[in-house]
Amino acid sequence: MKKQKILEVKNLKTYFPLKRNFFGQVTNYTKAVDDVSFDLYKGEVLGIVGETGSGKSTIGRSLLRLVEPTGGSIFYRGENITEMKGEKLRKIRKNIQMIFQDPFASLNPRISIGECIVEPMREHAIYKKDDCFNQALMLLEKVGLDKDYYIRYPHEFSGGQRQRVGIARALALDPEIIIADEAVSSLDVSVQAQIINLFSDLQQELGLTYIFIAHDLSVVKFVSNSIIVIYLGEIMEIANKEDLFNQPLHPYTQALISAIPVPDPNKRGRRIILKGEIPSPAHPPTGCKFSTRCFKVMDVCHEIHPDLVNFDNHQVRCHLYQKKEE
Amino acid sequence: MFKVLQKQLIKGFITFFIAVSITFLILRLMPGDPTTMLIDPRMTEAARQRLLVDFGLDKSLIAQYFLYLKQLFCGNLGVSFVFRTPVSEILRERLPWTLALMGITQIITMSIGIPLGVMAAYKRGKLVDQIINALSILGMSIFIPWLGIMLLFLFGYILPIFPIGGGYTPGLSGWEYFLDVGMHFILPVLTLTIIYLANYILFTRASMVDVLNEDYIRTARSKGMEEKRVIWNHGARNAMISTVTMAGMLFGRMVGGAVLTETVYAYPGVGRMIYDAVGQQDFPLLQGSFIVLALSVIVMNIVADLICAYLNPRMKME
Amino acid sequence: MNKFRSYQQGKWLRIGKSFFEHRLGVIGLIGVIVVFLVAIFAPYIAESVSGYGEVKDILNSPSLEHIFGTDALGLDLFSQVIWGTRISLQVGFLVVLIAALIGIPIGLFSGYYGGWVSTLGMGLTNVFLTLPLLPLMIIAAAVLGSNINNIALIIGLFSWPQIARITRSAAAEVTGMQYIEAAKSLGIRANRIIFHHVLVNASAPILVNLTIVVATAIISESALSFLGLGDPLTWSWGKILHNAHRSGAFISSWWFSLFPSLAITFFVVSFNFLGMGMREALNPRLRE
Repeated sequence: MKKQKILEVKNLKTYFPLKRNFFGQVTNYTKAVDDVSFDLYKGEVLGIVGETGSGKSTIGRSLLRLVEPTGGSIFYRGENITEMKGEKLRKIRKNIQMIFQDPFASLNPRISIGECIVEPMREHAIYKKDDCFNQALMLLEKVGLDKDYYIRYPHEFSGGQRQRVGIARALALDPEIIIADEAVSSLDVSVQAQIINLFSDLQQELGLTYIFIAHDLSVVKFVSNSIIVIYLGEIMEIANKEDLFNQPLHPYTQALISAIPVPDPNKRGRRIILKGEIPSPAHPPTGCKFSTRCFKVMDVCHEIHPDLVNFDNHQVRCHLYQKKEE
Repeated sequence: MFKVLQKQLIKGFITFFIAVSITFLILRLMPGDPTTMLIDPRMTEAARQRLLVDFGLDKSLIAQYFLYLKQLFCGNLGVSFVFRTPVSEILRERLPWTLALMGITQIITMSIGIPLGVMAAYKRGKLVDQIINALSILGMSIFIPWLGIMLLFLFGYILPIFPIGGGYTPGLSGWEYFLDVGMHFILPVLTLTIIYLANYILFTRASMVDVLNEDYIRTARSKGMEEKRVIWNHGARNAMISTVTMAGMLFGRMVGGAVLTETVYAYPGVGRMIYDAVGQQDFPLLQGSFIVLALSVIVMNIVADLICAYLNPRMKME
Repeated sequence: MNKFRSYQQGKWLRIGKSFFEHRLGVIGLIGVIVVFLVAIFAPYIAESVSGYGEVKDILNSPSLEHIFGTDALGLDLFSQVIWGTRISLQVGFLVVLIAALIGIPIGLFSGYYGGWVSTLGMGLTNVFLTLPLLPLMIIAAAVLGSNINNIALIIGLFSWPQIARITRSAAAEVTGMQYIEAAKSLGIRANRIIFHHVLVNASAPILVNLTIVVATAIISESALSFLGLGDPLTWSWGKILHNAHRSGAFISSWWFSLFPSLAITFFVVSFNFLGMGMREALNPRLRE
């Protein structure tokens, strides 16, 4: 089956101003997202994994224009949505939705959960009045909640249930792409599993395309088809799941994989422990951004910034592999 | 520090500008003949015509506005209908009385109000706090003229300690004069203090309650610091910063009280002047009084903000 | 769908309970209820008076016939004070309406959009909060004429900054919440987000301040009336005090000034206490 490219991200940059001098000009930036490019194909799940502060959430928000990108472009089905405004942007919003991290903060405490699912339907006038109500009930069922819960308020539910409401709300507009921004990170492990299974089921049933943002590689491993590894706003490695786990190229990826708990003691490898902490995005190291913590670091890593190199759909940004491209 | 002063001066200037413009708008845009606002209808026709040209009332609104600003800048506040003398002269005589009244009240209310507010916050919810709250609100809610007159009655008639109004007894000089002024001063200050004390008590209390909930207070206590030091050195100092900021604004509100108090006590300040001017429809005087009071309040605000900047180490760095 | 609306337990019960634990708030509520009852049932409590009374009745001290005594025209003071309640509520209501209509939108837009909108809105607000308002109101009243609705309009026009300021800070806090971000991502129109989502969640402190505005409105109205700028036809409490002052019998006929002043104080204290009670009850941090 031919794969359809529905999202194209080219050289996305999102910088946040840090300091202004007296005249209001910005002197220093936090480069939250620094030159990120990838493609998203219909029906697949793209996992974006990285530590806190790596900029992965900012990528999601930039795609949705909740945060304005500073540079680069985003194409949805061929249309450039990077600078869209007003009514046009509102319409595009129907197609790309987000599920937020905090189930407690992402629902308006003063509206019933049914109402919060119906509201976007009404705003975009997708269905007729009565149909909205029925659609909402159907969505509640689909995410595993009782129809009677329609009239209840967020504070009456647990974290996992609220997250289901968030999913139902995201589905209300029948989107094509769903960005799950650390959607399971704040849930208990057992609940995490339930929600992840729900994601899989929904994907198969509705033909959804996901961007799954997380800091836990084991979660990402389960759901994704392709994975992007992010560090300090830059892509360190992109590959499909099998290639990434069978042959992780970047030292950072190797460290992350080694940290995944393995139940069978015989199959456990050596855990790679990275020294130091992630540097501040406002003052990244010179050369390769990972150079300060890399266990395979070389002299050149501190001086020259490595480019992203492509090995048959497996891209990596590391000096270890630059030599091969002469 | 200089940067703060700069910022404050710009803010003050804009505020003054808006105040002055609002006055202009109110007086010139009202229905009916605008000339009656500025030119005494009792004057002769010839004199009126001359003043008409002087005030530029024959020109367009925009031209009038600029003329008004120009005159203001030169200190020309118009001529009083009633006294037939320049408004600025009249005000120059009366303003110090009002400023003295308000200034002393300000100092007293802050000196008593802030400690009481701190105490109320510390004993939050207990009887002491509720009493202080209740009394404060009561004080705030008494009708100022009534309070003034009652005090006058009590301490002027029944217990004839203080003089019955006015600012001074004519014919005195030197030391006697000062004492006399002082005696005349006390009741008006007392009146204003009772009313405006509440503002400082309640505001300080609210700030302190927030401050006392902060973690650094808990840390100080757990370090075994003496309770009094915890409250005063750590808690009160921070709450005071927001109170001092408010002091500037509360000064503005006090003007209203001063107007009523001066009226009742026949105190020779700008407030009483406003009351008389209203009765006589003396618009230039009304306008001038407001402008002068606004200016005083703005200056007071700038001073308060500077003090704040001095006290607040965080603000100093901005 | 409305028939499915369930009774939202928990939150409001807790707030209600918390309110009643605070003595002052309850006292305020009772006071406000009394004010409303007096205003509504005024015709049954006392006959409305106007015009001139009889000469023999001028400045009589309180008696069985005239509970509060009589004024300089010989008219019953009790009746004037009772009927003045209606005026006070009328003024309070009008002032709050105008202050809310102007102040809430300005505060909401400033809080939601931030940036230059906020700078402009709050700058304007701060200018008004700094300036001495009574002299300005005096000038405005002198110019616009003293009709009770004009007075209320003027007071309202100078009361909105207070509301705008508290609305802005509440709105800014709510705007930072993730559910507002979620609403934006769902493509909900900005105006709906502001006036429905933000406003509803920010409403608590706004309501508290609106209550307090009623109290300050009466203080201003009484002051203006006392100074002679009040409506000559409608006799608010401040107007009665103006009459008392003008008659020269302020002190000698103590009843003339005492009862209207008590009425003012009662009104103002009640609304202030109510506001304080509401503030303590609605502040989640203090309700530990």
